Amino acid sequence: MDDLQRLPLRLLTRTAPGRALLAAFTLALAVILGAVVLDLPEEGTSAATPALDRRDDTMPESDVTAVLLDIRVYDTFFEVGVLLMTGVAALAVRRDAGARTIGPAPAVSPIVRRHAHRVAPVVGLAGVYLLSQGTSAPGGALEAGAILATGVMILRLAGYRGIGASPGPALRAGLLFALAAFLLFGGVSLLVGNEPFEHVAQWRMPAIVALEVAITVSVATALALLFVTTSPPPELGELEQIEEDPS
Amino acid sequence: VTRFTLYAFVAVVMIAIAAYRLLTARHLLRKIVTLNVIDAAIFLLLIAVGYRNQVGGEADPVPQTIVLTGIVVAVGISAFAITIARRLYAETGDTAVQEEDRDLPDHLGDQR
Repeated sequence: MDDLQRLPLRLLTRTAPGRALLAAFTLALAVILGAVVLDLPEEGTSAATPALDRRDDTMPESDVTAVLLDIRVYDTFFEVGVLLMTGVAALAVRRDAGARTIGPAPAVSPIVRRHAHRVAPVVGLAGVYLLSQGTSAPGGALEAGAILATGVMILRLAGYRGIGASPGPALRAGLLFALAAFLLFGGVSLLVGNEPFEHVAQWRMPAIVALEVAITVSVATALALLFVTTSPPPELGELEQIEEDPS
Repeated sequence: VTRFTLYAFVAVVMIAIAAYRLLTARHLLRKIVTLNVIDAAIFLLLIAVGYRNQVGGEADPVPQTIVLTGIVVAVGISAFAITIARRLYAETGDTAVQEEDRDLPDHLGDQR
């Protein structure tokens, strides 16, 4: 029964006529999609325009940050939730894997190691700078988090095993940080008698900065964690062994 | 040809090619890569829409924020998918979702 159900699918994906049919299908999809895209109205206003028009000097200067953490803060809240869930799911699926490994990781060259030494601090600085500019200029929490995670990846590729070798309590806390900050913010705004996530004008900037820091920490942790859980640590010292052994 | 139509055309072509590969590729890593190509095309499309939709001399910020959150979610989902693929490899040694080969003609057996 199972085989019979699978047969048409295989005929479709493994034979030349089937693939031609699939190609025709995707071509039709592209034509429809293209027609829809060209039909998109040119509005000249943004979904955020009414809110941005009411902007006062308590709102972030950067439109993008204002939309992310004020006008459409629910989107960002759910994004943080998705990120947390992918992190937790990756940790859960990864556990007990390792019966079959993908082979030894390549040895780290001393040049790469020294280069990582120089580059990682600069990457860290760039991340902090992006975060600090987030409320007034392009840049902000998501970019800063991604850049900081890149720094962790560089160190990891250079063979620093200490980083996230096994996800300890600190990493788990970092993963949770942004969601906790959002829940706290939502709870406090409810307690004050506002809608959840509604900013109180005089606290708006501190709240946004706090949320940005929390998002940066969580994005950096989650991306670094996802990288660490999917890549074996490079072997150190293998290169020296090869050099010593003339055979 | 305006800049918007050029970007939209490239995005639609990318989506179509990647969708075809997504349907025909067997190796899970290839499927994950094609999903990422589709992601990139959608981000390109959203940025083009935001760029065309000038509000007060600046690009519409809403598509930009959607792309920002979308990139982070896409990376998270890709990493999760890779984790699952690695676990599958660790458990079974397979790099593709196994299809039953019984009672099938040979030439349908193991094409990549």
